[in-house]
Amino acid sequence: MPAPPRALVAVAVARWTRGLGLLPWAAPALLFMLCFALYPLAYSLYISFFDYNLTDPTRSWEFVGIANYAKALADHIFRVAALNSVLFVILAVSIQTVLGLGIAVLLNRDRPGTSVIRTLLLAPLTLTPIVVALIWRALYNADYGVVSYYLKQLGINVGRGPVGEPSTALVALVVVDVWQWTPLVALMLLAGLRSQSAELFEAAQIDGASGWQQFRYVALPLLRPILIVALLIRTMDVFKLFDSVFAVTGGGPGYATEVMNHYIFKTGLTFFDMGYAAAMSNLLLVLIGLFTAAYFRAIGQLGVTQ
Amino acid sequence: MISLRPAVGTLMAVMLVVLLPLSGGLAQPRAALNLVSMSDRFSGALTRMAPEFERETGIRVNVTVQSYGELYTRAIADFVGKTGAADLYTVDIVWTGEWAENTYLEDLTPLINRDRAAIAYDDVLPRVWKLGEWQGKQYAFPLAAYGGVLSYNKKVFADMGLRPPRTVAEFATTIQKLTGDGRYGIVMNGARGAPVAQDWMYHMLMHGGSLLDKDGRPTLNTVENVRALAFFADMFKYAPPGATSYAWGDRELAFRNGVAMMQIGWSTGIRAHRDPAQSKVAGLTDITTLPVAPGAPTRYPLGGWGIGINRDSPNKATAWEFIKWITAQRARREFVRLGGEPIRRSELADPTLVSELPWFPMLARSFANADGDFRPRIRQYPRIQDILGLEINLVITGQKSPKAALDDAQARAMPLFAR
Amino acid sequence: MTLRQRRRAEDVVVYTLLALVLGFFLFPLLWLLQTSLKPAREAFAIPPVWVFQPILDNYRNIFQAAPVLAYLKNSLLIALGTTGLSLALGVPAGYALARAASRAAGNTALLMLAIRMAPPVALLIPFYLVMRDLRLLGTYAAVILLQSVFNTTFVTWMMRGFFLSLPPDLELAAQTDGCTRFGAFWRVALPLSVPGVATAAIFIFTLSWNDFLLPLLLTGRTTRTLTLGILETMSTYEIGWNNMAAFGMVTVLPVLALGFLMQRYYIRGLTLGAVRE
Repeated sequence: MPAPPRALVAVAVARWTRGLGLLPWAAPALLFMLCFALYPLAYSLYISFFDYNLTDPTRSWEFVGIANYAKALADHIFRVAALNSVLFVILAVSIQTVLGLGIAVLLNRDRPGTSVIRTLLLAPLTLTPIVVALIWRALYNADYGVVSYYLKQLGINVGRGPVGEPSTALVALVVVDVWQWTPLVALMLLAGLRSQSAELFEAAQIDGASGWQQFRYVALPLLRPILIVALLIRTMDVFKLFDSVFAVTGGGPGYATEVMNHYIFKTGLTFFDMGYAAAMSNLLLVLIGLFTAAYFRAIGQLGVTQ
Repeated sequence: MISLRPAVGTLMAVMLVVLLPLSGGLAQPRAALNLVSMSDRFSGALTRMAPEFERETGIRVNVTVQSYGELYTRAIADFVGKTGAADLYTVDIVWTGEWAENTYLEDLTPLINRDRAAIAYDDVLPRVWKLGEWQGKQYAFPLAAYGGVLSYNKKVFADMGLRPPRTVAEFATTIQKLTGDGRYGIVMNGARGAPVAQDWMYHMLMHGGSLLDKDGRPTLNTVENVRALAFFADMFKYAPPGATSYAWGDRELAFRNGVAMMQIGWSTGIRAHRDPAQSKVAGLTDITTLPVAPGAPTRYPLGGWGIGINRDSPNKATAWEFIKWITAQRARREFVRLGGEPIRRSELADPTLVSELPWFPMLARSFANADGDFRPRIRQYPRIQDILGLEINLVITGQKSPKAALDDAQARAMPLFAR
Repeated sequence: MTLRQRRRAEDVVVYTLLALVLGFFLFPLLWLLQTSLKPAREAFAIPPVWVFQPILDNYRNIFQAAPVLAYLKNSLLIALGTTGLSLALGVPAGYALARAASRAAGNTALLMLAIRMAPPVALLIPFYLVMRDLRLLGTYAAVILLQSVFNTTFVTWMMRGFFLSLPPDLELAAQTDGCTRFGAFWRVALPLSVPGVATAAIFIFTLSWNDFLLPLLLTGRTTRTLTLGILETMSTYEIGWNNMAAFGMVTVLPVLALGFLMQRYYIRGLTLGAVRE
């Protein structure tokens, strides 16, 4: 016997109103997002179809179709910047994950002093990135920098300096990012490790699992959700990299450290070539979207299973 | 899209009510003047003299000091946004064309003509008027003129029996002789962008090169320019290894630390060379005019800063009063003493100043053949400088040949002149 | 090897590694501190000078040469404004998205996360033009609004996770006792979520304080922040690394202190988004 229609309707209405009753609560935030995030993004899409330069009166507002996108894809520097951005993300995030995991494991067992170390590790991630960038710029200076000096003392030829050599400049900036954000990953993973119950490990031990096996087959799979979030947060943030490029290398030497944010910033907000910059920033959004999607798939297929 | 704007605008306005108490910083008519200054040495003089102006006239001048990149970006933002955030800006000589053509700055010509006697027009060095002149009109008043001069360590020169080089060839051999024993013959800016582009332009001028032809079309890859770039890149062998990522401050530091024996730079750096608190070579340095290639005309670099009035300033008359005051003969001695640079003959010849700043006669010689156009003050200059800044940096880091780099630069510069 | 010997060997290895870790992560901060206390000429001595007579001249210099207190005030106002606005918008939104367990709510939460992924420069360019049209360039409001876009998404996402971890039974009980829905939120759910709100507040405050890119474009003459002021200490011709270091210390100290003082919340915040999805 079919359910009376009136009851069905009531259930449906109830399901809706359960959400609707709370709608006003979220409305300010959603409205805010509409005005200050979605509208600017739509506006950005719109101006990307125009030749629009604020400082050049001859290029005030001319519809050019997809010319800005075509220009970007053919722009050698833009392509290099895109490649550098992706390379930077892969290097920085993977090093941070491995180091962070290592540090988390070191700090996992309570030993005298570990809680102090845990506290001190908070320092890098609270520091102001522009200050961090300036510190490393001074440390890296090939002729007066402390890092370069001690590298030379160790018999390492630093040449034009860590950020002066085209072959090492990107890695040198990755080190700055690793320095600042590895503690974040480490502390996240440490919190994850500490929330795992000791009984599981005792059971594994009774079953004869070695320390490594316990880590690999018990701790690591349990860490997976936190690991994914840590990777996601870092990936999103490394794609936003700007301060250290701006303050340390300016994208040089050559375009060795040119990344998309910096190139877009310069195009749009130094030379005020708004249409072109908007087109590039939309391409950057697409790239981040693709990258994150691919990333999640890779993580899913990786051996880190439950 | 346009019709959407009011609707969204209304929405935003509603949201902004929440933030209204925090909307400080909006431009309103006021009695005080806002002056934005580049953070060069002269900014200290402006900051310290502003209260004096207030004592004399009752007009307060708020001096904001900003770094070069920030100043440029913010000034443009202020102009295109028509926010009138500042009444007065210090204007780099190379911005003149862009700021004049886009009518960001008030044309000062009528005011200068009106007050010609009061400002002692003829006392300002004729070539220094380039600091703010565009196509016959004056958009900024000269404030601090810099000469591009060769600084050298006279102690080491004397010890080694060397004399300051007069020609480009002597320059090269002197650099080579000076290099060794942990010393470097020269130091130059190598950092990508304005630092390397501007330092190369000194060498371009020395080699008789030019960025534009007579008709104002770009000629970045001429024979002279390629030769100048090859020379410039070669000299990095005799510079501190890190110099390829140096900007002005790093370069000056290398000279002040006694690591590099020579450098070409603006005269505003000289005082720090001679200050024992900052310099390890205080008392051991001197300056001279730049060496010149055979057959090249004797032209010395002129740079520096003017001071101009924002077109959207609500206080133009008062702003002009301040310009007249800070550039007047009677204020200049103090301005220069406090860290400013000269613009007038009377300053360069002032016995008090010369006794304190003994390089002034040599600077006057440099100004006599000054060329303020070697960095063309055209609208496209910032873009050209950016293009050169990348290409030249590729050359000095061994990633491109001088010819290929300047050919590429020329190819990228041409479209800027298409319209 | 006995168990004890193994333990001891392990301790040696672990402490050695920890010392290396600590050295690496603290060294740049120590460099900043000691450079800020050095005279100009020693700031770049080679070989580096590690033992010296500390002086406070650099701090005196920067307070004389730059309106540091005004920058401090601007940084503080912007950080507090952003924190306040983001919490006011994000906490109720997080609550709504947690309690309205419908698919639409889940998708909205994901949309929020997607906005957080956008790099600031992508939003900054159109936002700059919009602020120009509204004549708001150079105001605190311009910076606060755009910073709040990113931070509201963060608060919403985080508080949604937090409220999901609170059983709704208490609120339902309050409602049957005659409380309104808002009353139940205000009197029951919100007090329980104070640790979560505190965590979010610390995070937003720090992010806002440390921001460089947005203030660079959106603040004006009177609203500039510390992160912009620090570049001033490195004037084109005279790099004052010693002054820069003093300015850097002034800039980082407030957030560093906040991080250390509130470390319990801080570390908790690191995992909040992760544990509840």
